[in-house]
Amino acid sequence: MHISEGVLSAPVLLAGAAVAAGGVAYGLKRMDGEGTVSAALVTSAFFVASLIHLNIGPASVHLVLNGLVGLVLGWAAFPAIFTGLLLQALLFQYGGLTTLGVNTVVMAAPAVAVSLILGPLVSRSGRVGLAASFGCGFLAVFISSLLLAASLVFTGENFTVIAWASVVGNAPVMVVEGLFTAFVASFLLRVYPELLGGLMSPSDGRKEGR
Amino acid sequence: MNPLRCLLVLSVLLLAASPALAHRINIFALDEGGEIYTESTFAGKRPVKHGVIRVYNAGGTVVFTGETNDKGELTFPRPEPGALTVEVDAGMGHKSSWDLEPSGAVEAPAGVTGEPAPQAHPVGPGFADRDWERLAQVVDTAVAKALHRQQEETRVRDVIGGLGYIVGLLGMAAWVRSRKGST
Repeated sequence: MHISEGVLSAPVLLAGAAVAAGGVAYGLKRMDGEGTVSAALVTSAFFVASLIHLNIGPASVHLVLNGLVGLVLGWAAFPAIFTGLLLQALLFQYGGLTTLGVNTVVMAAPAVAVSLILGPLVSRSGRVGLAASFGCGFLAVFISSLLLAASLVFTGENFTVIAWASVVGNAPVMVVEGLFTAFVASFLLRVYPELLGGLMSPSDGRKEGR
Repeated sequence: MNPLRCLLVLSVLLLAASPALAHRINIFALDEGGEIYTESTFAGKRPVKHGVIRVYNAGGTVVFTGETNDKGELTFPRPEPGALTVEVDAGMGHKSSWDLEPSGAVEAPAGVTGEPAPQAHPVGPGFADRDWERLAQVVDTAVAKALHRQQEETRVRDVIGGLGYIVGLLGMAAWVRSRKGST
């Protein structure tokens, strides 16, 4: 998921940086008092998640958690993922500083998308809620793999080939992320529903702000 | 239910899994007297199998192309004496490079190993000057490899440091917010 330095051309990098900057600014604007605390919590989880690897058959993959970040934070996923990626780039040399913008968009845009589409369904009880939270984790990684492929197209690779490779390569992550997100969401809804409150009804999430 | 408990649960969930590799990519190249040894790994010391190795000269022209083996290694003769950049490309946007200095300072390997050791200027019992040079080269190589492998590891202190930064940013955000609220 982390695109390295020196792979992408300048226009792609600049476009990514511009979209990321817009997303981060909008996300920060939408963040309120309690939202900052949730954002810090989820950013920590996102930051550490890339270090957790799972061996599935011959493939070794790592968690992304962008679906979960989107589910909890909505638009604030942009600043959260940006911060997480910045620290990963500085401390672990994952990705790079020049590709920070593109990487942020690749991971944060799907996070916002799934939270807008599936977010309202997650708080439903029973199977609908579980399926929706599984979908959040699954789809977020799926869309990310497509965006990753799309950003690599401009390096001269064939889109169909690279998109297929990206989706197949990340398929195990999608399933694991789906299960993990469903598990965490059902857990949070039981013990700490306020964390997911922003999604259930817009008024609930904003009432303690100012 | 308080946020603290939530944080605790999240940390336990995350620590339960084994921390190791992600998709950082790393290449290490070394001139071993005319032969260039390269070693490409993802984080967690997983080898880059069948990654493409490209070597660029100072002018940016590709002077060598090869593929890593199952251990992520590739050894090839130095294509030209000038400064070189060795790059590994594992596909899907995973790329990394290593710069090699010009080989001028290093003695040609044929002269070191090919000739019988001259006995004219012994510096130690049974060793000639050139043997010492070769030995120094071997030791340098081994030390460089070991150091590089050690630096590659993701260290626990980096993880803790990153979490500390996040807490710090949270504090800054809270401070900014409180200033806004009070004025």
